[in-house]
Amino acid sequence: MTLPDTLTVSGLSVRYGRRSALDGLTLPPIAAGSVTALVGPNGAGKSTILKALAQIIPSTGPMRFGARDLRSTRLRERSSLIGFMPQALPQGTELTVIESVIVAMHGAVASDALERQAIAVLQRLDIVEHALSPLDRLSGGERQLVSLAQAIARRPRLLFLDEPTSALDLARQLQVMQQIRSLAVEGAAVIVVLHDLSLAARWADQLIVLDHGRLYAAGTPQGVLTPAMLADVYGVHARVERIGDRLVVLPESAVPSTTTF
Amino acid sequence: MSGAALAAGRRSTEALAAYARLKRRRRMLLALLGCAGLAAFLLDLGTGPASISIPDAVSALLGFTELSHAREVILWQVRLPVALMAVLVGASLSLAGAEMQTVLANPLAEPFTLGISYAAALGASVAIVLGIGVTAFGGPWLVAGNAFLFALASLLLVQALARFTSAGAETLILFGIALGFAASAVLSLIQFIASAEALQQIVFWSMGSLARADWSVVTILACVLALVAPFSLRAAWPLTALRLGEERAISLGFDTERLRLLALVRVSLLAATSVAFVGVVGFVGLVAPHIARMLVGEDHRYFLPASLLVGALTVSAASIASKLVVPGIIIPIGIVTALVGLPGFVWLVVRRHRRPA
Amino acid sequence: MVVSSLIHHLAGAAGRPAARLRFGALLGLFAWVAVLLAPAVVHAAPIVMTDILGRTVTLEKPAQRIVLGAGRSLSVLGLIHPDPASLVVGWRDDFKRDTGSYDAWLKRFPIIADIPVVGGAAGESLSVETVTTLEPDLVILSLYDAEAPGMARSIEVLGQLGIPVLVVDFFSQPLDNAMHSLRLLGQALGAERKAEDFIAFYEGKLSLVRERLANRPFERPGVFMHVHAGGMPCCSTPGHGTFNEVIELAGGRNLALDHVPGLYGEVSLEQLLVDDPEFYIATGGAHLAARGGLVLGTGIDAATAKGTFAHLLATPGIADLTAVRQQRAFAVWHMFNDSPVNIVLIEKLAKIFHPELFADVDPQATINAINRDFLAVPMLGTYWIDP
Repeated sequence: MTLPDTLTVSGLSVRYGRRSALDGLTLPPIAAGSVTALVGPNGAGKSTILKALAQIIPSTGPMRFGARDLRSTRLRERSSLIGFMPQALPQGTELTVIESVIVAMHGAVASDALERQAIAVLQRLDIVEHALSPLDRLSGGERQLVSLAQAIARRPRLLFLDEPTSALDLARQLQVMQQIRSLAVEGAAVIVVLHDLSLAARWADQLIVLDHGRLYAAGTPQGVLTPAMLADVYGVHARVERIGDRLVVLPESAVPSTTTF
Repeated sequence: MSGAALAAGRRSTEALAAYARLKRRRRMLLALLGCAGLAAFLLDLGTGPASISIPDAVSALLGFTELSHAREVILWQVRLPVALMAVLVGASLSLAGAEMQTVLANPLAEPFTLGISYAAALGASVAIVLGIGVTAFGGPWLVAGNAFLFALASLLLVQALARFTSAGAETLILFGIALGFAASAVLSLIQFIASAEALQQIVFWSMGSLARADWSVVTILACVLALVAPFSLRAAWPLTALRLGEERAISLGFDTERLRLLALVRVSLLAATSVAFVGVVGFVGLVAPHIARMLVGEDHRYFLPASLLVGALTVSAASIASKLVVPGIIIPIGIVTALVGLPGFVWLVVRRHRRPA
Repeated sequence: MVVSSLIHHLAGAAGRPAARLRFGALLGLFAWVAVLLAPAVVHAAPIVMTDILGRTVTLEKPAQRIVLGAGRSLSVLGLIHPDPASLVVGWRDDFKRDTGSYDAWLKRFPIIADIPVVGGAAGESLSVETVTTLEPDLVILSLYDAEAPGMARSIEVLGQLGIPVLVVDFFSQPLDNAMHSLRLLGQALGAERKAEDFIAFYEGKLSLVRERLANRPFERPGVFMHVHAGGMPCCSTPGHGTFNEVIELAGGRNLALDHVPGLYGEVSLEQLLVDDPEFYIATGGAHLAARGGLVLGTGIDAATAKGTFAHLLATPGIADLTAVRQQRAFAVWHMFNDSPVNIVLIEKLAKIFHPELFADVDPQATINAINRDFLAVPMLGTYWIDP
């Protein structure tokens, strides 16, 4: 059995003008077929990492997936390889749901199959009944699902999702995380930014904790989610309980701040 | 197969069928717009004090009948160039407006938002008042050549300035507004030192007039549109993707910087050429895309052609109106497009955003 | 048949000596017939003119269906033709702005109310289509109108339609072009005699003014002409053209020349106060009534005119001019421009600037003479106001 392709990122740096948001960050290897959750407080740089990995913003530092150097991959190929879901939901457009997914697939799939595949993706996320609705008539949650549909439409090998469940209700949340899991099972390497630590613990194989643009910890949920980490990184006193085979994070009170951010 | 799967399968089939119907409806709307545009063009051809009816005009154009010499001259030298110019200007400005609204992610963008109209007027006034031509053209082409170059330069300047900042679309608009103010200030200065007759010429030029159309002007504008439009249509997919957000578009593999630059070059060419020969015809570039959007949605494969057709139809209708309002006098087209387009636009907005009963 | 038998006879007669006398008589008959027919032949000759722009304009016969680029040209036609309104089939209706003159002409020729309009403002294109429906045989344009870029296309199409376009000028360079233009109009209307009469009248009066100024050395007083005065911020003024030549001819010096590069323009109130002219001449007309400006001209009574002038002179800034304070401020009718009746204005200004040289010159008498001998509709009203 061949080893699954692995995403390796080392020395990743991102600069905004004179400020450096990320400085030589090295991530643990992320294997295809796994779900990695990227967590950390606001402003830690989680979205920045995803955007850098998707090459939406400029960055430096080698990035490889398997034998492939991601930086030298041509734009077209790269867009088929990488699926990205931005944090911002599509706004202010009357494009219908199905059209938005078809656009996301254009160039990657043959034209006559486009529509069927688009419907199939919508089917998978259970939003087919909205296929002909204009995006600006949908609720936030529905739009988030559409955004996800656009990300996964091309069946990418690498999937970077920035808070894919932030606007979703409980049922949809479950549904989406299940889909993400099955995408991983189908062979994708998935990195998900999540705020809900319990959710992350439930669905991710690996947790990466980011703090001020630096890697604080990486490992299994059990290994990483400790009260010590929560106090240190989040500034919160919390209990980490085990309920059945699930880890649950229960915040209690804020740590009196002695340091400034 | 489970009941749920069957239901899901049925929903999928329904969705596909519904989408096919949607596409069919859009194609029909496009065809309808085309027909309406043709009808307006023919009506424009048949409107005017000289008694040349539409059937007369058409058969004379096709060579089946021959009108009196005076009528032939009127048909070929007055009515036809004006009618063609109306269609070309309307198509150019609204295609430009459609691309601008997408590329700047701003529904209020139109070819003149980035200060083009002021820059073009400035170029024209420099030619009229100071007799200085930036181009090699002289004589009647002096004013048009200047207007064109100033308009083009203003857009490129705005684009260059925006490169120094990070946020793409918003800074472009801000720089465009600033440039518009600057050009307008210099224009006021030139008007101030101008002789009264030059001043009057500047004012007339600014009001926009199709009556200056002759065959060379029509040919130039037709060539520019014929050259630019295919490139616009080729960019339909990337432009549609841009509607989903800058980051999304980049992630889908589209070079948004280049897309924006090329789109603005196309917009510059279309707008600058129109303004150079016809003067400032505002409003069409703003409203026609909105009407098109309401009719066929934002898939640019339909949206761009629809904008083009709606624009052509609008200015054609305005041309007809401008001849009919006051007998003997042709109202400047820029005024009419506003008067004709505004109520229609307001009606459409009200209809769409009506408060639920 | 007569001719052929005559020729027969001639052919026969040429050889025989006794018939030589008959031959001579027949030749005489021919000559007499030719002389009779001559006027008809001469009358059928086309009228060929070279207009102000040097263009050759040809008319088959005197124009009877004229389109006027400037409606006010009607009053100029009225100098050489007793019923010019019957000749005009279309115009721009700027004439209506001078309500006094228009009303006088309307009373005399009610049909002018129905003359179709062919265009908007001067310098902007004509509705050529409307012009064709009127089937004109001549279009008369003023120079400033014909030279405007907005008119180029209209003139081009008129040419293609074969409608003659005659360019005249009483406005831009009146002294160079006015008499030539009047002569052209005389030719176009078949009223050459009347035109020559007026030209002789005009040139007689003009040479008087010129000679008197040439014979004696004189100081040119500084003059500021405030055109369309009142109701608007100061000041519109003629530059290198229009009234400028009139001022110069009358022995004055147009102070605005330093400030205005073109035909006419604006000078600020401050600049006017700095220049402090020796004479302040304001022009006005019925068209300024709506904006509370200086009103005088045809159909305006002296009291009204004086009232508006007093109001103008009370304007802050203008009231402070030395010329105003020292009773050297005058008002004249604006519509003396763009017309050969500007001879009246020349005489009036000459009297103002050099009263000692022109004590015997009587502009009112000149108006009376024009009314009596030339104008179809006489000029009756207030045409100047003295301090």
